[in-house]
Amino acid sequence: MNAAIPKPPPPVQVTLTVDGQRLNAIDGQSVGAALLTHDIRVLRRAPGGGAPRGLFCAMGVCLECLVTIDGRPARRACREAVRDGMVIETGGP
Amino acid sequence: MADARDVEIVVVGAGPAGLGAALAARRLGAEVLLLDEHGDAGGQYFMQPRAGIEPTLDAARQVLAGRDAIERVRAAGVEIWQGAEVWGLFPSRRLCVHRDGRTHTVSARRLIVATGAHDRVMAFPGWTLPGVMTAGGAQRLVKVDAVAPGRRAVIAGAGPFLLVVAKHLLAAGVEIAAYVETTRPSVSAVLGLMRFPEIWRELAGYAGSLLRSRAPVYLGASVAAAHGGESLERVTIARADEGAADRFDVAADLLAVAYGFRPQIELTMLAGCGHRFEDAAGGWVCTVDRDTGLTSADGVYAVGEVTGVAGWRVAAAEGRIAGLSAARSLDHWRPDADAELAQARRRRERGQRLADFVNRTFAPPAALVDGVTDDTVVCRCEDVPARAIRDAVESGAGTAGAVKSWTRCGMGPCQGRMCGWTLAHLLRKHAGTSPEAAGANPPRVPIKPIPVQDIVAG
Repeated sequence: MNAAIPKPPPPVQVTLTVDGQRLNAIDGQSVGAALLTHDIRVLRRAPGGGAPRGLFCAMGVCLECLVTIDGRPARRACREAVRDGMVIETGGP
Repeated sequence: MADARDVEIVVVGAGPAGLGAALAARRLGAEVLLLDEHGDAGGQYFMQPRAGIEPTLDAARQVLAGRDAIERVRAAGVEIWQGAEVWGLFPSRRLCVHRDGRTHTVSARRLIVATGAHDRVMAFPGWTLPGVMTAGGAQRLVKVDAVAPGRRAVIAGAGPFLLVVAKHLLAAGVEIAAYVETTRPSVSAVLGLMRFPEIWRELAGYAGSLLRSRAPVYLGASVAAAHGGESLERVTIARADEGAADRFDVAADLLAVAYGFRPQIELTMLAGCGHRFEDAAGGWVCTVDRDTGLTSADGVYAVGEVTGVAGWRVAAAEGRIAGLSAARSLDHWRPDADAELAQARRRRERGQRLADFVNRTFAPPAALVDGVTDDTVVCRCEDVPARAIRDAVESGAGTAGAVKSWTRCGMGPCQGRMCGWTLAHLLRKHAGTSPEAAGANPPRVPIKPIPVQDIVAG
């Protein structure tokens, strides 16, 4: 059964800057998935008490995973794909 | 709006329902535009891994079936827009679609809404901690991104979908610290399932891999709380029918939780279609004529989970029924399509019998809402605790709308998608208000978070 799936090309590594730190990721992965592989789970802070929030629905519905990407605020980490050189800031509202 | 476009049939959502609708209509000669918000078509069931990512062994069969279905639709001449989010629907079926950083306007002579469902979660203390995720979200990370969403997981909620998620997490190398099913399926329910060999074999396979993993399985239990500092560290599990004394903690960095699914009815609500509340079928569902998929709104069809959660087989059959019916209403027809329509209706009926049985068997108990303590955050967007909702209800707020204006519960960017089910049950508990009387949280345009500059650019 699995033989029928063509082997995808080897993953392409890209470099992100996350809160000033340079991290590797696989091209095309969602930002949320890439951060998760580096154990970055806190993506924003609740505006009320500053409680940590992270990926919840991972399908674009709940808006819990908002981060700043290349200067654009409130982007969904679960929906945006990583690109080489992307600059990501977590911890916003 | 220079690029406003007229299209015979627009299908929104490229899961099994939308793919079925698009293919059936296109094969009759209709012009079809299929809009899908994700990077790849397939929806939840036929979910495709991102380009360059190898599917996990276990998901391969669904991935292949999905790839096949998508390819047939493309080959038939359906125009597919991926990454296209419909953020508005205006009179005469004019859709505002956000794609590639700008808004496109599309006028649909017939609109088929196949937007599917998302996980349904009842609030509990600690559910906002990073590491607590919907079961479908955890599965998406494994299937689409090939990422393990944790090392040690608790899987909790209700329904056979959790078995599927367990298998996918195991395949990704996640240890399952506890599998917690809130309902307690009876022997007669299990025997009843055996009347449906197509799902029985599948479920038995999933259950087998869970049991072989030696994960502790708790039936009739539920998640009472999630604990941790910056992210999840422990989960408290309560045995529902043995009193508050029987609680225990399990160490975990992932809690994948879902009590079935909620239909995504924003577009049918905006279109003014009739809806009704059916808790076992997901909550608010769009009412349709079963023989055609037509809603109460002119030229608007609804298929799949939008009409009540019933799984991919029913969704695919409903898609074909509506695709054929919509094409016929535009004078595209062939005599042999009668047989296809009859076959799709038979498949829908059989699938619906199975879905009704599963929905009944795994219906979450009403007492689940008793786990929502006063301090529990109900509305995640606006940080509204259950106490504020109870105060509002006791002061006379009797509907979802009144609670919203009183407390801001449901007023945030998710538009009540995450808290709506909890709120409906809190209103029933505190005020005796039926969900029908409490009403649904009406969607607000834009129904997707579109940057303001992308709305005005056209």
